[in-house]
Amino acid sequence: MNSADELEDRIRHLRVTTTDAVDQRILADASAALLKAQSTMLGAQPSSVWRTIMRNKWARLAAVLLIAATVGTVTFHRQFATVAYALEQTLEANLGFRSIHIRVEPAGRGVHETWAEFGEDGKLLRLRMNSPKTEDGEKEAVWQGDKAEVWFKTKGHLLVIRDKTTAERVTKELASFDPKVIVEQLHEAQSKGKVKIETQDPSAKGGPITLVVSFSDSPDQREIYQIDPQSKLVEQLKRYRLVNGKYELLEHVEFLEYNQAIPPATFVLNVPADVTRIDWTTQEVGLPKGDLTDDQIAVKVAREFFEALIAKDYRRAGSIFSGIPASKMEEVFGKVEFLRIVSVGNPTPHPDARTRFVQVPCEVELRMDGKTRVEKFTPYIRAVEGQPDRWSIDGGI
Amino acid sequence: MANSSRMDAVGEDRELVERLRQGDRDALRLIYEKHKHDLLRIGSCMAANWTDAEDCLHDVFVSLAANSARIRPDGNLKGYLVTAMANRSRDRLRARKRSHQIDDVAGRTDCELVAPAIDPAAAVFAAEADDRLYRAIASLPAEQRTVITLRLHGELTFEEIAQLENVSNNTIRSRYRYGLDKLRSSLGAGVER
Repeated sequence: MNSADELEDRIRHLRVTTTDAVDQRILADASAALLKAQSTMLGAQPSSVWRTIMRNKWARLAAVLLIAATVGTVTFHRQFATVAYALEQTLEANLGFRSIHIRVEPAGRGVHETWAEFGEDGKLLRLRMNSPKTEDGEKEAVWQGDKAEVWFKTKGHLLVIRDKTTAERVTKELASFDPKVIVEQLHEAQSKGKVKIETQDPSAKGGPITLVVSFSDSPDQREIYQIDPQSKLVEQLKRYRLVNGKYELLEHVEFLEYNQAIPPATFVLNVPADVTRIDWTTQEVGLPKGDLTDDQIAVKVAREFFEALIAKDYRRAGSIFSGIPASKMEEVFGKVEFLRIVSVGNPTPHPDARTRFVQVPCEVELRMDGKTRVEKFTPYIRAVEGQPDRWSIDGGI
Repeated sequence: MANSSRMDAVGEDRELVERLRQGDRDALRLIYEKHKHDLLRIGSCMAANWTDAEDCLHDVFVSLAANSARIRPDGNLKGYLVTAMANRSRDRLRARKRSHQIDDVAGRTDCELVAPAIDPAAAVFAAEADDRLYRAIASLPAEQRTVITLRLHGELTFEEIAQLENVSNNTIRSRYRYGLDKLRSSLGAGVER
């Protein structure tokens, strides 16, 4: 750096970001404040704002909920008189579909899309999920049988895994958005008296059937289902939570294209050639844990990773670092001469427990651009997906 | 070209403010995504504390949403956000009475430096360099780092900063110049003259 301009440029581009948890907290609180501000405005200018709200049928339902929250459940009962429709009709209709496209929009977290195909027995056959915002950044995944491919678009690599438990885990992940599962659970909860379902059925006039669901053990939660009057399939689901006396939308789920043939290409990731491919189906990754504790194996993994870099053994270093190919490791780390490990500190759990990472602070002496210095690293280490007895570095470097 | 893109950004902001005034939460989210990084840079440089910067960002956006109906659509949204962030960061700093410390920028927990994993080594060294720069900025007198961050991250003019800080234009320019000189000096080996 040799000028004020360059220093200014470095300051301008100081790198900073927030985690999803921070973004969600801020946006949730700000959204609540916005809703409150709007409802205050509603009180000040009832007619114009009310007309704006009533233009949208879903906003109309939300408005009904707001009123219900303030005047009590008696009004709620009067708004939705139960008529001919019964949930069993949707249970029956759900038996018939074999494919679906689901669009999920959690508040402030982008649009997540899923395409799923089921067999005659109702079991999940194959799946694609596109997720713009996750703890791993943007990713797309396809799954079939015991093999899954996950393209970490933000991180720029493709991970291929094979695991007997994958089917079970994928099915479990889909359950929150699978209309079959959702309606079965709703029906069961209704039969046990855990939910109250208010039904509005204007289907005689061509309108959708609406279910407003309240939960006895979570009185601050509401779900609104929109049912197609002909097919009796669920078209939309909105999940709300009561915040400061108002219902806040948590999630909007749309169930699209029931039984529409899904093009086979949907289940193939269109990954550019230059994306690093990490195939855990053909190679062992990381180090065996054996009888070591989580902390002990994490320290061992960190130490052996840097020893491999010092020895310029990029194949081994890559194997310990998520299975990254040796050529990629050399391309990335080859410009640095790792000299010695100065220290390997005490392992600690990652602050976000969902990641299952153990962090190991390390200091390593290295030479780069002719200068020798001690650098701090904090590799994130955890059990390998599909190879639970092995541990590898999976981030933080 | 730069002016043109800035005008585009201002036009986009005006459209977003118009939507925000109607209670559009997508607009709120877009404003947040667009400005959060610069605001966090301002907060972390001024308050010299990561948690405080994050809390200030939270307060700024809750306040923006709560006052959405009163925000002028033809006004300068970024200027509004930057001023709000600066005021809150300054309050936090005063409250903590720790004007020359940087305590958790390096050990950030819920916020973290971007580490583009496509090139892990580059990310590590870039993050380390940014840490050094954060520390160097935090070691500046509060008034100097305030001017630097408002100028470079807030994109305010010296005149606007002078008004905000209630001092003369020349004083602001001097603080900026002295601040950059000190940074060059304290970054030492990393900065070649």
